[in-house]
Amino acid sequence: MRSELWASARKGLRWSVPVLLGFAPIGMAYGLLSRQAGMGVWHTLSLSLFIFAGSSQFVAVSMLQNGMGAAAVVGSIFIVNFRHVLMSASLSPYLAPWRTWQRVALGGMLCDEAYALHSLHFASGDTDITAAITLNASIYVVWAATGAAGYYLGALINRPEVFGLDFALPAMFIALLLPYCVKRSAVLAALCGGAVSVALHVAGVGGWAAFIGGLAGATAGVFVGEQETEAETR
Amino acid sequence: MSEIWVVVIGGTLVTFLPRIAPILFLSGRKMPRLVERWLSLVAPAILSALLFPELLLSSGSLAAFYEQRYVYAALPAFLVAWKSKSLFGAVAAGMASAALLRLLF
Repeated sequence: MRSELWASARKGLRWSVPVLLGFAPIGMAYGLLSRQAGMGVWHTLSLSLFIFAGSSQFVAVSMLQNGMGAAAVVGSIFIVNFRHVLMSASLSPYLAPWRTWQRVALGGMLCDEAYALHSLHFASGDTDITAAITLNASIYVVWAATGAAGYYLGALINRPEVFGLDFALPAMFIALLLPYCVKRSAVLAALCGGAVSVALHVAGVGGWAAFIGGLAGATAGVFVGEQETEAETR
Repeated sequence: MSEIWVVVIGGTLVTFLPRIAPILFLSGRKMPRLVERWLSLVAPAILSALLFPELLLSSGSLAAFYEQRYVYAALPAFLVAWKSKSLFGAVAAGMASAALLRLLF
């Protein structure tokens, strides 16, 4: 039993490696920016530990630096992170046997990258609770730690792009998106979601782009699927 | 600077609730087949909603998408992911080609 748990935890840690490659330089850049914006170390760390959302934290720090009010900052954080509602909902069908604390651990420490991994694992039948929560926790700890490290030490890797680290996360998303593309409905969902999101970014409302793109893509895909099943029954 | 603590508390609420509410309240609930199918399509839709702007708008504008090295770095990552089905292989290929393209151009 003990060794099974350890094997699951190791699996979760291994899954987290590509995410950590991408997150570590971003975390350090966040810590450095936060310090330059005049924030204290506890403020910097609190945003990482409680809000735990990269883009929102960057937005929050720069808005505070520009003297924006707390309500406006919280409003922006809400918009940028509202996409997690969709992610959380789409994982929920797999979690019926999970305990409440396990669901809170999975949802509370959810980020885009962990979601991409979870949804693929769950859909392929691997609902290993220990591995999933270990993956989340590993990302959470490294995100907070690199933020603090960046605060004190600066961005140790000054030019992460020289090592291609800036492309670790996009490359991971490509690899995680591909397995869905065996079904026509999923291909349409992906194309539609991507196109809507790009259009919203171009229109200057990038904050809502992932949420509305996800909504539009899934809805478009459902229609194709219906026609497929009709064709099958005929 | 107490403004920051308001942001921390408010920001925690508005990020934590959307993350856990659906998982807590939808898990184990019997849902119509159509809703289940819709939820299963959220992953590809939202993954590409996150990925596409990253690739196509990395220079800030769509018009110049062909000059963006991310578009070209995506190709080796895609090919490796497709042929080898290896996540680590795809990440390594993507990173190596992004670094190489930066070195050359």
